[in-house]
Amino acid sequence: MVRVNEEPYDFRPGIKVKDLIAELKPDADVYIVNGFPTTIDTEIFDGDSCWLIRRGETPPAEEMERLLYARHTPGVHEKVRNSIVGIMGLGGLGSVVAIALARVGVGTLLLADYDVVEPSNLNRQQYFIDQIGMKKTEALRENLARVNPYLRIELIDVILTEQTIPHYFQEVDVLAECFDTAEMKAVGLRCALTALPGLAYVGASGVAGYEENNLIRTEMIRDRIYLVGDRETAAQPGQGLMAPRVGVAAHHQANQILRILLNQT
Amino acid sequence: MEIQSGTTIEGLILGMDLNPDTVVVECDGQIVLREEYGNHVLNTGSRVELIRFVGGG
Repeated sequence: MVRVNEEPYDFRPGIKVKDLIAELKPDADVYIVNGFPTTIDTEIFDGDSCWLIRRGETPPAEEMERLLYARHTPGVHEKVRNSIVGIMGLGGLGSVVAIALARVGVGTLLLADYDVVEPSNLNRQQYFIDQIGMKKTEALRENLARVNPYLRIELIDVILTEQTIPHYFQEVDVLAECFDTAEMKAVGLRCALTALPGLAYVGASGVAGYEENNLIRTEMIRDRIYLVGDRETAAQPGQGLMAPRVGVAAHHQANQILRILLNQT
Repeated sequence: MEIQSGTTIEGLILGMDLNPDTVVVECDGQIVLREEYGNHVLNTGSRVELIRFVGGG
């Protein structure tokens, strides 16, 4: 048996890439066998893994699902695709968390921010030059759709407050606190502990500069409540926020969220 | 930690040179709302946990 685009296909001795193309995907223009680009005259052997791709084509939803979970640990995709994650703040933490969760196939993301993309954001946030001036919510939705167009994404384009956070996020499986200011980080945690009992929550504090990698840690401070960061390094004059270290913290958050969704806590 | 009688949560936080808006407070097992920091007086034997945040994201 061989696999073509992750689907099983009965092997016949002597078949070539062009036979697979004719039978399965006549418009394919990129052919990959066992990880290497090949030509239509390449012979296929039993056990080979083949990809027939149309350059620039968006795979249909079912195929996309299959492609996504082909590289996952078994069982991960089914669980995460039915999950809802809220992200408060779409800056250097939130935009990175969102993209990681989209790539891993989290089914529904609630994205909250009121701000627009500014040039100074591009040193660490997952936006592009041609998105300067766009709402971060809209820009991130656009970028996530280029990763996986079949995600459900809801945009919350407001300034969140201690009063409104519980309203917007009561249905989520995990809430990610990715705010910029220390004040809103405190507001977020207080909401989680008072108004959203039982909620799983992953916040962050202490992500600036270029201090040691391993000072960034993930700590469970209460049942289902986690804080990521070194808890010390504030963004301030002379100590900026930069893609590498904010990214380390954001991926701590994303991995902790995934662990919660997979009950690995 | 020894504190003066009559010290509020707000006073405790300010005395530690922190901004009360950046601190989440649990006192004797209860999370304290921000608007109560100024009038919540600490008693002898109170167990207070402060979770302090720094900016950046």
